[in-house]
Amino acid sequence: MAAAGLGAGAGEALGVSPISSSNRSPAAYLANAGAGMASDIANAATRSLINGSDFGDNIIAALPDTIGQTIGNMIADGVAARSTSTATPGSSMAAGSTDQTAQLTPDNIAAHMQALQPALGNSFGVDADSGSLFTPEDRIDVAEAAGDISAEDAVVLQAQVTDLKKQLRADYLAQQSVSEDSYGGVGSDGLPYLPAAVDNFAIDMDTINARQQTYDSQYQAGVDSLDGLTEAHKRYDYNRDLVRGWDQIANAQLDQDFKDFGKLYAEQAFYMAAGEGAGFLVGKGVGLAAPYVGRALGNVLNWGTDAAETAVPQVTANRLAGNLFRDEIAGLLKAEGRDVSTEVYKSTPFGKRFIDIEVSKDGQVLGGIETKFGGSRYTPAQRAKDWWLKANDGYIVNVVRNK
Amino acid sequence: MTTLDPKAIYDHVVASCAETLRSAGYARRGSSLRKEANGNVAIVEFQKSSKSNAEAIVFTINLGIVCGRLLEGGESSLKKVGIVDAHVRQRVGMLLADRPDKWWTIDPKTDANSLIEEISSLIEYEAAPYLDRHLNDDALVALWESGQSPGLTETQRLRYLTRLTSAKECAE
Repeated sequence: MAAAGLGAGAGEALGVSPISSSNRSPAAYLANAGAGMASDIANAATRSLINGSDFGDNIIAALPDTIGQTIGNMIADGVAARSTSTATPGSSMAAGSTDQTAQLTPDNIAAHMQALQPALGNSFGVDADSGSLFTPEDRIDVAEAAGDISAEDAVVLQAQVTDLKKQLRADYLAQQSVSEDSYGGVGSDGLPYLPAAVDNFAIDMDTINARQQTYDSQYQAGVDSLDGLTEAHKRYDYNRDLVRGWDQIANAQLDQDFKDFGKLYAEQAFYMAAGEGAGFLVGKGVGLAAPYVGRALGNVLNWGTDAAETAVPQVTANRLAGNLFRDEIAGLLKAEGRDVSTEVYKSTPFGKRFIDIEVSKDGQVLGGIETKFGGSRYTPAQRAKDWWLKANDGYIVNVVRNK
Repeated sequence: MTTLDPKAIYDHVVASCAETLRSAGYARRGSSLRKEANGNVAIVEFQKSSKSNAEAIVFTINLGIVCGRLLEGGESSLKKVGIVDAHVRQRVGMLLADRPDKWWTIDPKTDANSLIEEISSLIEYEAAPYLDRHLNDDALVALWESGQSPGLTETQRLRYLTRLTSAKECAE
């Protein structure tokens, strides 16, 4: 049940400012929501890094007669992933394009990506000349200063990086069998003791340096223990090592984000040239939103738990047309005890969103399903709207494909 | 009436329902019937499906309650709200046994009188009473406190419940 997953104050937990007359612009929504995507994004981003999948558009490949069995399995087994998406990284942006992007050429995409590259460093943020590691935060700052990304996008990206690194920190602490709130002590592996809960391990170098500077400034030679100073420095150095590792992972995610940006900006250049400038901000927004939106059908049946990527094994092609496919999915969900409503309109700052299937249980909306048939594209505009619905309302849209 | 084209039958259905609910305080605006009371608005909206075409119209009926206290612009913005703004929202089919996602199809073979009778009855005896029961803030609070929130996610339920409860406490 969603209530259990979100708990009290879920809106605040999402970190998204309430809609007000002062922040109705799409840019403000992006900025606000970006600050609050928190662990949902981090978890998804982490998974993506682990398995290399594009979780923005989890593809379910199945025939209708196998979906029912799969749903049954999901109910029995929970949301344990049984297979990975058939999508390839970045495929949601590059492949399966409709006419809207058919005129994009590899050349103009490459040109935009090439334009971004000098400011962003090379792969994984390593400067080829110096060999030094750019932090992901620095890369975003540089990209913004160079005008390669907007200030709004920079805010969202910074929030994503922070969320991801916090999640990595939490994962690390979990591996050490300590909670983020625990204090002091030495782990069984002999690692330096953890800082106080209010400190925790820092997730960026600036914070570590500031902490060490404060510590050193308070150290009184000849009065305080030199061992204590040494121990503290070991702790800070250990934290630095952790941050370097987290930065590498965050940089890998950032590489993908910037690639998406390159494609999106190329797309937008096309839109603008075609006189469709209204989509510009939306397009930029989805550069961030796209990888973090979709979940799979299995989660519909288990909403409220942290979503795992779930996909149905691909069997053969589905012969049903789009509406029939949608209705069939709706029917299957209905048969599993969910209330379904097809063709539901939602309001977003980016315009109305037409949800193929809205799923409810016990008088409460669980989320929506976007059904895609025959390679139909999960468009940037849909992604932007879905991202907003999730960030603002906790309304998750899953993409379900027939293949 | 079976000789009418689907659009004419559809218009007749909406008009008949508007007439049915007039005495209950509902007024028609486009494809919606609206009733304002207690600073809130009840909405009965006819929605055509994307499946509709020249030969057939497929439609459903949405029910909604918009709470004026929860609107950004306050109650003054009630005149402009639609079903997408509703704080309680569900399909009329949810009031039926088995809670189907009820859609009707009008084609040249449709018995218009039978259809009008079916829908008018549903609107009068199921939809309108349901909306009336939720057309005040106390009922909304009670509904959301029960854990139910038709048309809303858990996030929205908690947000609106908090805001409406706070507003009521401030007023008292």
